[in-house]
Formats: sequence, structure tokens, C-alpha cells
Amino acid sequence: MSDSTKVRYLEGHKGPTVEIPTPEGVPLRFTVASGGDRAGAFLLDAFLIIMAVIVCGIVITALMVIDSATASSLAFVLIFGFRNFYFSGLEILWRGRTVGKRMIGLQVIDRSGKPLRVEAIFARNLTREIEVFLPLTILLAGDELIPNLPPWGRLISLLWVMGFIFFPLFNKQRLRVGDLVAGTMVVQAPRRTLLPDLVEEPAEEVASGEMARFAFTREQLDSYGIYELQVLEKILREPKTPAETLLAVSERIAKKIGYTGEMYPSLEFLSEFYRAQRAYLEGRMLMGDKRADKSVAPQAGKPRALQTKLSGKERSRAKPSASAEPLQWRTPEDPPQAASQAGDPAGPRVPPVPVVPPAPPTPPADEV
Amino acid sequence: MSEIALKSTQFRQEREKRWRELERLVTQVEKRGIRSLTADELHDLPVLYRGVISSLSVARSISLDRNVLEYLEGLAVRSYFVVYSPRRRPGEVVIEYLTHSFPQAVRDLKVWVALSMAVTVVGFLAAYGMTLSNLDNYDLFVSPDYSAGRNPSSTREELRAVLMNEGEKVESQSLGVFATFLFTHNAQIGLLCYALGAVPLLLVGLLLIQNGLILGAFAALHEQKGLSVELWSWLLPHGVTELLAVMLCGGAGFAVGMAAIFPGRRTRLESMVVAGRRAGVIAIGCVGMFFIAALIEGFFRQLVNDLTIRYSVALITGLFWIYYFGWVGRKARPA
Repeated sequence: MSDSTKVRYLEGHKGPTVEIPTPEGVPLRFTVASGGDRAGAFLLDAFLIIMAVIVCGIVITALMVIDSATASSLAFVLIFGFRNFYFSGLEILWRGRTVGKRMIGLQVIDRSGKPLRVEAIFARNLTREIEVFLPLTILLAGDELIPNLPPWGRLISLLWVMGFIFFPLFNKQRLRVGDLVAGTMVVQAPRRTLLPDLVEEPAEEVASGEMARFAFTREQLDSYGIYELQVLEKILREPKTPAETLLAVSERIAKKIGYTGEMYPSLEFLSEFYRAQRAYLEGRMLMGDKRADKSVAPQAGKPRALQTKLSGKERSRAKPSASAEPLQWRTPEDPPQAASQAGDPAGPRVPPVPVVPPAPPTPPADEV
Repeated sequence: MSEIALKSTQFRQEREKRWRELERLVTQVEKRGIRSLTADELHDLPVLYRGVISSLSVARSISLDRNVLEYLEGLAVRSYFVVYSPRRRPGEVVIEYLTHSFPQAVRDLKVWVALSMAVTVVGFLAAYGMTLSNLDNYDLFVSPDYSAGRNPSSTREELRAVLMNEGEKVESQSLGVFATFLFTHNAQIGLLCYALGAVPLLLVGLLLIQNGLILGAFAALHEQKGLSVELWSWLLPHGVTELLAVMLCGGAGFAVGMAAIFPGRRTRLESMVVAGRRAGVIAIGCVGMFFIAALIEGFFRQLVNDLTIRYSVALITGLFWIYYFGWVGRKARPA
């Protein structure tokens, strides 16, 4: 199996996350937008502004013939408006999003989780004046602005722009200077659709008394962790995964877990393996064993403290390359307990306890 | 596999309808506003929201279906903003801003506004004194293209012609262009003052002092030619508003810079955020002030040459701003 297949299905960029507490007691998790996404959104917006200015320019030039005074007043106001109010206006209108941010799937939020206030939006966008527009003007039209601008003047404004552009890369939350001053941050906010559950179908087979064609033992299911499960989910949800890829993935899995039974057709094999693996891992999770990925040793009756040293995020970022790594088996002091577990993948039947207290009877209608 | 269904699947099947119902409501609010909901839907919204928050909490601990988790995270965030972001009508926002937030923000930063005034005055006095004692110094402070031919070699009559619009008769139509140009140009300088404060304080100081220097040199030149009364009648009607706005922007810039250097009891970041937002409030208000100033400068000053009227306009605007920033919006914010 080539490495390119593997890379294609790996997760997209997952930046650092921030948690914002809600009054309900369940923190909301936000993924900080990456520098690349931010730059992309800005370039889209900049492109749009330039296009708008060009279109306005053409209209105004046409107007010039009829009424030159009105036309040039209009030009001044329009340029001023675009320069200072494009970002602020759209972010007020669309709850922290501009056209570019919408296309990339980003949103401005208040760092403390409060509603995004108008003054915060203005504070974060007015600083673009020194971050972009002023140095850019000096860079491009320095001669008219300051007669006899020496070359080092341009160099300084270039460095200035660079300093501001790369500022977000030097802090964890990717804050621009404007974000810093306004108390805002930019997070990922893609629209998600709820897709069908991948494990619903087999219920019918069981109901009709048919035996599952693929069976996995506990040792086999111990080979992978949550990260691998979710990569598999992504492959299965991909609508047009070519048959060769499915075959390659299932062969790879079979080799890794030491599975020797039936494995065709690949899609059914993978679906069944996904179901079994998810049932197993969810069962373990209910027991307090949240295994981030295959590089974490599986737990069997060990105290929990030992395996939670590394957070899931840190583990999943350090992906070892699978080809170089030997198969991981349980260490001798972890005796297998396959017999008791294989038939009961969901673990003991403990109903999940909701963390949230029951809602008070009156909704906060005045806040809506 | 004897298991009928996974717990996470069962969990999802039981709640999916309500998730989708909330998603529909939230999408509708995002598109058409909270007013588009019926009374029943409005009543359901917070209940459904709490349901989804609860589902999210459970799903995080029992489900490994990434799609469900991501869907719930996204839905919870969207509905959180819908439920907890009060949306006010634009009119209310503007009125509250004008009658409360803006003057209050200026009062909050009065120390820094005073500082930016002081810097301007120092610049003014320095240039005034130096130019008065030796007119050649005028060129040090005022660049040729700014002075538009008004320099020490100009005669009294030439200077007077500019101040009292005695040159070629101006058309009232081109005044509109002039006014819009002045507005955009001056407002840009003011906003620049605010933005600069966010980084180096020194630059705000420089910009303000330069403003004062030009003014001082100008005043000295006209004093020499015995035109002081006319000059101030030319400058003050719009200058009261415009200079005040520049100083407010400068003060806002100072405040942000100082908040970063001396955060006091807050963390540096928090202190910058508080000052930055207050400064943002001021910067927006100043755009309005520049607009007013440009109208006065572009139309009134070019059309009215009577000294008494010019000075009374200056006085009226001055008194208005003193009243506005001194007294308006001091009462508690309306609930």
C-alpha cells in the first residue's frame, strides 16, 4: 500500500482548541483557525474588494461624463467605505463572518464566549489600517505620499507588513494584533450535515437470525484506537472510494490485526470491522479506557491514571508511519481476556449518565 | 455479533428528531432573524437547545462516531449564539451609541484625551513661537504642498484672499467634492491615530505634535501679517470639531498603548482588550465628527465670509461638544 493513499484520508488540519463554558455547564469546543485558512479568507475578501473597486471605478468613470462633481465625491466615499467598513459591516451583519470567512468556513468569536459586540468588531478591523493599508500604500505609492522616500523607507514598510502578517503564527490562538486588542479570535465554523449512522444496517441481519460473516476476537480489536477508527469512518463515508483502495485498506487491516478469515467483499468486511471496532472501543470508553490511537498500549484492568498521561490530541498528532512500525501486541503483564470480552463488545450495561442537570421550567425568553 | 444496536446508535436514534428540529430553527433564525419564528417555535428553541447541549455532553463520553460528534459540536455552537446573543434593532443600537456609549467612552479615557490635547498644544506653541521670532522657520514645519502657496513671501492680500474666499468664485457644486474629500482624508488620519496607538505610542505622539506644529506655524505667519482674526475665523468653525476628533482618536490610541505597557491589576491582554474596545467605540464616533467637520469646512466656510457668523458657529459647536461629552448619557444605561 502506497503512502499517498494513507495521506489522502488523514484528517485535515486540526489546530489547537479552546473551550468556552456555557451556562449549561457543558463547555463548547472551538478549533482555532489555521494561519493558512485566515490568509485564504483574507485574500478572498481582498480580491472581492479589488473587484468591487474596479466595477465602481468603471461606473464612476461613466458617471464622470454626465456629472463629474457627484462622481468624484462618490469615488472618495466609496474608497473610504470599502477601506474601513467592508470587514466591520459584514461581520456585524453575519455574526462575525465576511464573504471570505464564509467560503473558508471561519467565524470571529469573542474570546470569552460572550456575544460579539459591535465595538469589538470595529476595534479588530480598524487596526487593519496599520497592519495592511498604510504600509501597502507606502510600499506602492511612497513617492507621492512622501517625496524622496529613500529605499530603506520601503524596506521598513515591507518589514512592518511582514511583522504584522506573521504575528498570528507566534501565538497559540493565532491572534492578529486586531484580535489581541479587541478580545476576539477566529475559529473554524464549518457547516456539518448529519450523515446516516454506519452501524444501523446490521441490526436486520441479526433479527433474521443470520450469523455475522466476519468475526473478530478481542486481541484483534485491541490493535487499533479511536484515531484509526475515525480514519476508517472517513474512508467508509467517502461516497466514491475506489474498490482498489478499499481492498488495500482491508488487506492492511487484516495484516495488522492478524485476521485470516473471510474478507470479501471489501466494503462489507470494512463495515463489519468498523462496527465491531466501534462497539469494542465504545465499550472500553464506558469503562474509562479512552484509547487515543494504536500507539497507546491497550489497557486491561490497569489503573486509569497510567494511561491518561498524554491527551488524545497530543497522541493523534504524533502519527508514527505504519510501515516502519512493528505490530504491537500486548505486553506480557497484560494477559488477554478474550474469552470473556469477545461476545460482549459493548461492555457492561451501564446507562450513560447525563452530565447536565435538568432544565429549569422557564426558558430564558428575554434573552432570545 | 449478538448486539442489536450499539449504545451510541440507540442514543442517536432516540434524539435525532429533536436535533434536526433545532437545526431547522437555528438555520431559519440565522437566515431570517428571530422574528420569523412562531410563538411555539420560539418557546421550543431554548428547550431544544438544552437538549442538544445535553446530547453533546453524553455523546462526548459514549460515542465514537466522528460525524455525530462534529455535527453536535457545530449545532451546539450555532444554537448557543442564537440563544445567547441578544439581537437588537439597528435603530436602538445607534441611539444607544449616540446617547450613551460614545460620550461615556470619551469620559472614560479623559486622561488620555487630555494628554493628546496637551501634545498638540505643545506642538502648536513651539511652532508658533519659533515662526513668530523668525519667519524662515515656517518652512521647517509646513511642507510646500500643504501650504498651497501660503508662505512667508505671500502678501497680506494673498493670504486674506484664501481665508475670505476672494479669489476665483467657487461653484457650490465643487464644494461637495471638496467636502467629501476633506471628510475621507481627515477621517483616515483620525483612524490612523487610533490604529497607531495599538502599537507604538511614539507615533501617535509624533502625529499629534506634527498637527500642532503645522497649526502653530500657520498661526504665526498670519499673526505677522496681521490676519489672526481672519485666520481663526477660517479655522475654528470646523476646526473645533475636527481637532477635537483628532485628539479623541489620539487619546484612544494612547489609551490602548498605555494599557499594554501598564496593565495595572489586570493581565496585559485583558487590559488591552478593555482599552481596545473602548477606543474602538471612540474611533467610530470620530468618523461621525469628521463628517460634520467636513460639511462645515466644505460648504459653510467657503460660502460664509462674515466674521461674526463664523465665530458664532465655532462657539456653538464648541459648546455643543462640551455639553455632549460632559453630560450626555451620564444616567444609567436603559435596561
